[in-house]
Amino acid sequence: MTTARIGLRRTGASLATGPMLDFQLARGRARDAVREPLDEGRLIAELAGLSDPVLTVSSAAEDRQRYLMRPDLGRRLAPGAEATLAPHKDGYDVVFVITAGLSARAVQAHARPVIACLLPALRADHWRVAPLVIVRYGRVAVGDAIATTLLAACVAVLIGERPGLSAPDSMGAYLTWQPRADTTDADRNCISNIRPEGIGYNDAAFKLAHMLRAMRARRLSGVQLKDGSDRLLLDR
Amino acid sequence: MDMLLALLVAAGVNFVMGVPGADDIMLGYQSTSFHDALVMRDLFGRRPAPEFEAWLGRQGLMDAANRIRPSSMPGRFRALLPA
Repeated sequence: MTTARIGLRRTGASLATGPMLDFQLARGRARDAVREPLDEGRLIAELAGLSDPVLTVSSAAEDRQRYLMRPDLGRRLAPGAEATLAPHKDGYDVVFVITAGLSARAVQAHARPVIACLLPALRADHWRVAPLVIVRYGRVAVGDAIATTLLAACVAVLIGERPGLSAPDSMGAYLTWQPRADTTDADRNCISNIRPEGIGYNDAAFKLAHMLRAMRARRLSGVQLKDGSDRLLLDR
Repeated sequence: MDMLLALLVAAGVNFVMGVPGADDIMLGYQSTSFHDALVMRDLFGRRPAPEFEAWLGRQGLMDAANRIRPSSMPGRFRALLPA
């Protein structure tokens, strides 16, 4: 039913040893997930059939420690990134950006299956999809500059979420219509908890396609756009 | 977290968060658990708020010695669970 920690055994009033050790293991896994690096080579190889090329750029954060300490650096592109992106500047309907965020293992496992479900649906609708972009040490807002540089109408950032004690591998997808320098988080839509035990790959791709189409139809994203895909499922 | 909670209770705090197993599963936060609250009551000889204490007694969750559910689950709760 749930992985919530309910009905835990007691000794006296306090927690029994078993569930206490489980808690400490989960906490250790969450900490590991935050520090774990993304295996970019493996991810690029796995994405090869879905996008040609797969572009790799860095944020302004030079290493993982600085990335964790300085959120502002993770939102900006490194000086060399523009040169990598510029040759592909071509006007797209959407660009997908993948970055480890706070859980590399989340995107390592879940980014490819979700994109593999989603791309055929978008291409069938004649969406022009930009080359996939992997960002080292990126935060959500780093996708704004990428969309601007590539001339993409909207950006979908797939990012590892801050690990919880029940899920060290949860992926979030943040969607932003026509990001600009003054875009705020209120202008974004988020689909959270993407993982097999949460929102599965097919459901996540369905929701993403639904939201992207709604964004394009209404030419906006953020608090004015609601995820109506559950209603759609009920009506079918 | 245990030390902070003990200090707060010693200082007379009258409200702490309770989430199952100290794990806020929706937000991915850690907090203080229901177990923690019980331990603090034991350690510091504190009692629930009077209305809450009366309710715990009526529900069969606390016995005359102020121990929380020392033995089996109260019958009215067991009836709600699947067999």
